[in-house]
Amino acid sequence: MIIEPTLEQLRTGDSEAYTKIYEAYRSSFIGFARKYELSDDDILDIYQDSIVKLYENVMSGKLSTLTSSIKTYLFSIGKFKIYEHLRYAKKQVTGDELDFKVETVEQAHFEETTLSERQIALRRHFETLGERCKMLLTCFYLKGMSLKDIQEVEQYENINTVKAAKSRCMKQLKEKMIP
Amino acid sequence: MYEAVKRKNDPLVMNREELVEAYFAGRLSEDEARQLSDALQRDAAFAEEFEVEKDLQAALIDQSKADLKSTLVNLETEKFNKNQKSTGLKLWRYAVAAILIIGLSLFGALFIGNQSTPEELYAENFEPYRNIIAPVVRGEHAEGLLEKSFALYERGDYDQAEKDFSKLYEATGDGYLLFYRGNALLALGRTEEAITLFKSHQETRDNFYYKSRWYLALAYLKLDKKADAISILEEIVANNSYNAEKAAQLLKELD
Repeated sequence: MIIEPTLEQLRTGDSEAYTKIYEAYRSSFIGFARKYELSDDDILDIYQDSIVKLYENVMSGKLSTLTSSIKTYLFSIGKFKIYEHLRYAKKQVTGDELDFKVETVEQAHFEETTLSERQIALRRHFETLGERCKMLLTCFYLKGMSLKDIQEVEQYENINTVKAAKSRCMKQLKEKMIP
Repeated sequence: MYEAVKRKNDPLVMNREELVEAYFAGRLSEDEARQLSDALQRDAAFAEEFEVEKDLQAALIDQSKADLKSTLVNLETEKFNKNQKSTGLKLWRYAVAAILIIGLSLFGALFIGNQSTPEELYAENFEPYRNIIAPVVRGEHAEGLLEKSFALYERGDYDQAEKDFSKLYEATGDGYLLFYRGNALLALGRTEEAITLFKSHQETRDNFYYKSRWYLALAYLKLDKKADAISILEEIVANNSYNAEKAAQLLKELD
């Protein structure tokens, strides 16, 4: 067990926090997953996808309070993914074998998400914005930075300039969305 | 200035801007969450605006997930590749594998007398990549074209799935559709078309990049383009990327 980062630290999206978790629990995850009929490549693939899912749930606010350690949460994602994988590979496995509670609330948050058409279009048009807009919108909507922090880090004159820039960027993005 | 004064006068009420800011920072209190949802219910224009902002957040998360995944894949290659091989367990596994290979090749030499052709190796190794995009919920009717196409794919109706993936790609431009369409084409034996698709998919360098390389190598095997297949398989082994163990095995057999 390591000293785990806090949710707040994870919320900044700093990839180092996630790679630290990845390294810390890698061998115990592999040990756990080898009990099932999985190749090492599949195990690593599943483990990586589990970390990515943890990231997604933290960043989207689906995981807003931890009722267990991050390790326990991460391993329940992993279990779910192993279960999905084996089910897909049509190997006989029941929830019981994986000590898997099918009716947990959390589980709904472990499914792969798909983007809506509008989200896909937003992602595509976002890429065509200027660098400064991309940076500003990423800070605000992805990293959850306050306008004040953005002003300091990105060196805007004052908060009002940040606000004005932000609404200008959003306006540009929305105009691109009109077919 | 105005906001500061307002907050001083009534510390319990945040304005909309502040509520939205706190929402995306993930630090709304329960009370503030209620205020935000009240404001959204009262004002349709504000609600629509907020929906776009949430969609943008989802789009940005999706993008950065792909980045994190490649960071982890690289970390695995750089940091664990060597360590892994030096552990006793791994060596032991290699020893067993080596004995098996020797055993099997002796067996093969005795009874068959020749090695597998690239096409046979393709057939032994090809399995369409599993659907991780739109999980098929048992007993529920698929709704959108995306869900329908992936349900067809899972069922093995590659012909229709391939057509639908193509339509979806036209509409969305989403890279992973090229990857899955390539898989469907491979399954249908339309190998040359599959190769074109994997190549254009790889330009997007998304989450499926390394998987796409593996399937491109298989496609080359199918066409008996040994040199092309080998160079990609070697790259997969060197990067320890998707299916590196299988790639190493294939290289041995192609030797």
